[in-house]
Amino acid sequence: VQDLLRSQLEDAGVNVAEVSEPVAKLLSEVAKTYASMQAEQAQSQKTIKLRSDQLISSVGQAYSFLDQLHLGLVMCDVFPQVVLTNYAAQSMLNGKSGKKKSWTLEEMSGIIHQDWNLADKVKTCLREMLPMEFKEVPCGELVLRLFIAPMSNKINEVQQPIGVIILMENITEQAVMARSKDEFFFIASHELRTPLTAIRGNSSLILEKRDKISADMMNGMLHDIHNSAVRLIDIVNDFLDVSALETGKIEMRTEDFELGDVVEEVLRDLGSVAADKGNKLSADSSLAALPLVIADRQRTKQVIYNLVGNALKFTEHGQVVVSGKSVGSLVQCFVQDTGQGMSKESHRLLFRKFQQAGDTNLLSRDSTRGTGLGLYISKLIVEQSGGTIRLESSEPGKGSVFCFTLPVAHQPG
Amino acid sequence: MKILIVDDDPTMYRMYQTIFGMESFQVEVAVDGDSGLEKAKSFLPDVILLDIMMKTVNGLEVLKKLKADNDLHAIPVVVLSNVSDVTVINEAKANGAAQFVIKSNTEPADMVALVRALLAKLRTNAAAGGAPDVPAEGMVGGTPGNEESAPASTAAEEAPITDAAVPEADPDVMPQPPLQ
Repeated sequence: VQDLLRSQLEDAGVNVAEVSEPVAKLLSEVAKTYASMQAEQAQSQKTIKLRSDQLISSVGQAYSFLDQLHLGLVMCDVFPQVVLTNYAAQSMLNGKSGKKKSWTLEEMSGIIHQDWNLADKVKTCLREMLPMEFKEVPCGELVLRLFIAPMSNKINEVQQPIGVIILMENITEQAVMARSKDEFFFIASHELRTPLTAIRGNSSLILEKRDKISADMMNGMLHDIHNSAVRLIDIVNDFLDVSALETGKIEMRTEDFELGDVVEEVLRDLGSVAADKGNKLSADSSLAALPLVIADRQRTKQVIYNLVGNALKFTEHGQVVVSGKSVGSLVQCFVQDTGQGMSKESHRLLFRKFQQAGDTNLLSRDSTRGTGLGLYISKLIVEQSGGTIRLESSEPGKGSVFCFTLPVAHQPG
Repeated sequence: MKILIVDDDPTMYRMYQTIFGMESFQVEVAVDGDSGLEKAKSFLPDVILLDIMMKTVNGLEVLKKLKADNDLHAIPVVVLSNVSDVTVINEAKANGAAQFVIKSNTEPADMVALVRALLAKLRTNAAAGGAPDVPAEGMVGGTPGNEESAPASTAAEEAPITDAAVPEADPDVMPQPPLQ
């Protein structure tokens, strides 16, 4: 700067030597000021860089936090255009297979139930600046609880709308659970009342009209009373089993045993039931080659009884075969039938509590099917024995294959 | 007097078959909805006892078909079930059920009394020139959803046909109220 100034003065015809002292002083001042300005600029740049990094890091944290949320979150500006959709919201809107990451509000409205327009609701929220809550909104296969709230900011001392935030909670499980619980009580009360009606009615007939009742009739009525009592005990035992298994109050008495023996016992017990419906019930020779399993023998019998009993319920003039396979440290047991099978929609609900697959109309159900807790109880027993249970395959009209596993007993030595 | 019992549960239809047989009714049983409709046509009963929860064709569907059939719509139908859901009861009534009876809350003898009372009421109506096939409203066996706490009289008061139709002079009928 000093050199530049000197050459400029000389060009202007100034004798630099004469003015050198005051100029030098001035130049020194200028140089100082310039240096301090440069230092300040460098400091400012440092601060800006630091602040920018901090901001980027905060935004990153915020995005990552939003993506970790189980709640779906969609943010819209005032127009209202979607400006942000977190991971949970993307998953809810995509359903099972989609990979899309951004949607317009209209596209979102198309995905959510057809009678429910999200874009309209967002506009209303923005206009009225009031939060709105929607408790059960169907969205594809899901049920969502939606909360739409306005966002505002104070600009020039006035609160101005800046957008809308949409929170989406996936309540499918709770909704399904609540519905199937209602259905369960509907069915359970019917199932309990029917044998009670038979006991009450037949006993009152015997008490009041004993003289008019022939020996044959009496025999039939007493049988009905007895069978109804057995039916009631079975239902009550199911309830108690569920409660005890869920709270871990059932003690599993583990022992080593041959699965084939238990299967034989079940087939003997259910032989007449199979014959009544014209079904061939058999144990495959593969069972004889299985290693010993370690589990609660009685409870394992209950599982096989449930699976074979179910297979027989849904099979007429067909076959039910129980087979086995040893895979590593587990034994697999298969119950295969040639019965009516199940639709795909029924599969995922099968082992749920209170669930009876395929009950689209509760009034048209087969009342001999019981409370529908059998598979749920089987699942609890198998899992507490260290195994798993699943529906291997099922096709309407062709039949089903159920499979459960149990751990192989430790070999001595 | 001819009665058709439509119920898929053997313990239930055997019980009603026994009591109505003892009371000199001519009894026919159908174990599902489709055969119920067929037997209604061939047997032409004076009254039908119809269960609700049945496999394939449920009682409400049978009821609708009975009421849509010119030959059968005049036969009074007593819907009896262990379902006490109010929407089901209302649907049965709306579709022309003469009565809705909750099985577990009704003794067999009371069932007979109820059926006799219903038939007597319809006969009286017919003799007075009224339409015999007009469905009557009534619910026996408790108030839906709150059976335990409901006083016995509530259901009876809301069931005009049950009250009005009980022939007081008949010693075989209604020795006690239908609801315990």
